[in-house]
Amino acid sequence: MGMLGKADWISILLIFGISIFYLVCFYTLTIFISTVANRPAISMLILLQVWIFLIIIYPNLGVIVAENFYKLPTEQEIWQQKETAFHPYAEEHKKTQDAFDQAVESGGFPSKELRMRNFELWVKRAQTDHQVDMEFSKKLTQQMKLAQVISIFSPAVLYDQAVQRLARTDILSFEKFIEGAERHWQKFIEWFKLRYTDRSAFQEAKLPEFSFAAETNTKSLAATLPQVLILFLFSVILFVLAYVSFLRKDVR
Amino acid sequence: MKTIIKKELLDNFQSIQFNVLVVVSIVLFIANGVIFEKKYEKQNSNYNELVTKLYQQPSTMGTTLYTKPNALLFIADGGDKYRPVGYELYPKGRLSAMPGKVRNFKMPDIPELDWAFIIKIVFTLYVLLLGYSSVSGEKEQGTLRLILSNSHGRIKFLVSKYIAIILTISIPLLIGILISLIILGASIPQVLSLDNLLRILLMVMLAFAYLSIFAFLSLLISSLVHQSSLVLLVLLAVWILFAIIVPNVPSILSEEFSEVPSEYETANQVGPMIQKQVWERIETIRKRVQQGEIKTEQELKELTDEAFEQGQQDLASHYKSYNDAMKQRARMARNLSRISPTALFQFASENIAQTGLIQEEQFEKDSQNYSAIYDDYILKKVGKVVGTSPWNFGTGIELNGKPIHIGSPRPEEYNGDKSDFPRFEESKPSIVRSLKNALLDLAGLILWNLVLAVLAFAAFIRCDIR
Repeated sequence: MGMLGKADWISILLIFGISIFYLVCFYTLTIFISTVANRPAISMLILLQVWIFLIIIYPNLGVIVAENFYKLPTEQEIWQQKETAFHPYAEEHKKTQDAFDQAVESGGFPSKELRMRNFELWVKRAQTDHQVDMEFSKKLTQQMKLAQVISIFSPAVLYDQAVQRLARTDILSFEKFIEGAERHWQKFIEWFKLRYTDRSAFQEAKLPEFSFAAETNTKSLAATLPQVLILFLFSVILFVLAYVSFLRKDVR
Repeated sequence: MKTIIKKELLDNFQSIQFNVLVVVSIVLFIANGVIFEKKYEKQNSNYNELVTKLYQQPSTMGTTLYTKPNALLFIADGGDKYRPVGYELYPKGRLSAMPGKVRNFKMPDIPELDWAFIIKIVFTLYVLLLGYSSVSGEKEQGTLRLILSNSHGRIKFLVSKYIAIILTISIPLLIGILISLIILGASIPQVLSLDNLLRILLMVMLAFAYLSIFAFLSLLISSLVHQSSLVLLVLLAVWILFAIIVPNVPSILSEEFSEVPSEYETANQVGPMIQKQVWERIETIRKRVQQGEIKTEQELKELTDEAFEQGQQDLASHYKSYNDAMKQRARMARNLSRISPTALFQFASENIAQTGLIQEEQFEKDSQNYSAIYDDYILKKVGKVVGTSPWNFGTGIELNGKPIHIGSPRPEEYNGDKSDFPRFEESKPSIVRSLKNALLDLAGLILWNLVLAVLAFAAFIRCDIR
């Protein structure tokens, strides 16, 4: 298991702080319901139903609504988009691949130019496919954001978003990683091309190393501020409501 | 007894929890109807389109077995979103799952809003909310002594309370189910076929058997604990344990502690296996060529084809043993989670609706039967059946100074008339068969009912009513 660094400990501390905001939000809700209801059992009954609604029903409904109102392309449409994107190169690719296969199956060895062109066209295919996948990925993100907006009144959803951002397990961190992987892939292609252009340089060159810079704590914290503020606002509103209803309460 | 039931029903109908449940139930069952109607129509049109395309261009090199959409998914989805659209079937029975349905992996993985989910989470909670004060509430208000001082016996009192809870919960449940069926039946008529209606009826009975467990549980705790708020707290803890923790923990445990090699480890074993099972065989042939034992190209091709074929079979069985181990792990997790009535209810629902693991196993049996028919067809048309693995191999061997390319044999395409191409049909087991499959889970639910009923009555009989 890897050791936790200084940045990780700071993240844990920030998560702890946000957890307190989250718990305070539910605590003020408890105080409010407790002042409104007359019997402990009734108070608990209402709180339980509110809890189930805020934790299970409402966030799930947000996802269901987003899934049904923000349509995603079908597998067939994605496939079609990929074919259209590669269409200008498809014929050449087929010819090159056939020539390559024929050369191999006849027991010979394909020429250097043929191997290079075949490789370039496969790279082109991967690039055009990747572009379509990235467009699709953007749509997935938009659908997810819609679900988040719909569920904004659930403290659980706000807390999840904030904690995932600080722990760098959110979708944005994943997307940043994919961007890093794409850059690494470009370097890898350049390195591999040497195999066809300069064999000795290829043997001497080292496989490029993958590097990926995670988001700093300051940036993560800045990004989670809206969620923290809304959680704080909920707590304040609930406390004010509890205070007002307690002032008006008949304590006999 | 009738008086107590009537009084209880009136009290319940006026309670917040009952009215909230009616509203929640209507909203959730409408959502269920709308979501699954859309889902089924989309899946069905996609399935019809794909199957039509497939049989317009049948192939002897490989075919696709598409998974037929199930009209009863709205009862118990059974993880349908993870199910692939279909499987590629290659000669000699190799199945390869196609990519799963397009779903947004960036969204939280939420449970499907099927009947099983609504009943096992929302309704169970409301059964507890309706029943938590059945005994302790009467005791707190001092009415318990009054009621029992009349001619009512303790057993009659508790039976009345139980009937009142079940009758109260049945109203929102039946209203919700009816709404869902109207929405679905209006656009998908096959939902209301006789076979499906019987299955729906079974599901309703199953729901009552399951909810009855929680009714007995609330009566038991209410008889044991004197303070209503404390009863509610205990019931909530038990509910979280039964409905959330126990059904989910076994799969986590079996994943952590089972000895099944990971996907990465399995993939790592493939390289050395190819070296041993394929290239060592080819190397032996190469040596025989060098020693002059093999003279003709045809002899060489026959030997290498045989070597590649054996290698492919070894690789295929390597993947199969991994898949079998994974299935075994899933079965173990399911069996462990059967301690919880919620898991028993979920599995029984899947059996009745013919979804989930049972549907997958049935599909596998059907595909094995079809594979034999498909291989016979290839043999009849092409004259030979060539097995493959996910890997293709190729190399060169010099025979009599001439370089010869050898590669793993590939299935051949038959270019003649294929109008007699066999069609794949997924079978659906009869209701009796589904009931037999669900027997263990049904027995478990009945046992839970019996145990909790006995405990509830025993606790109430010994209860101090002062």
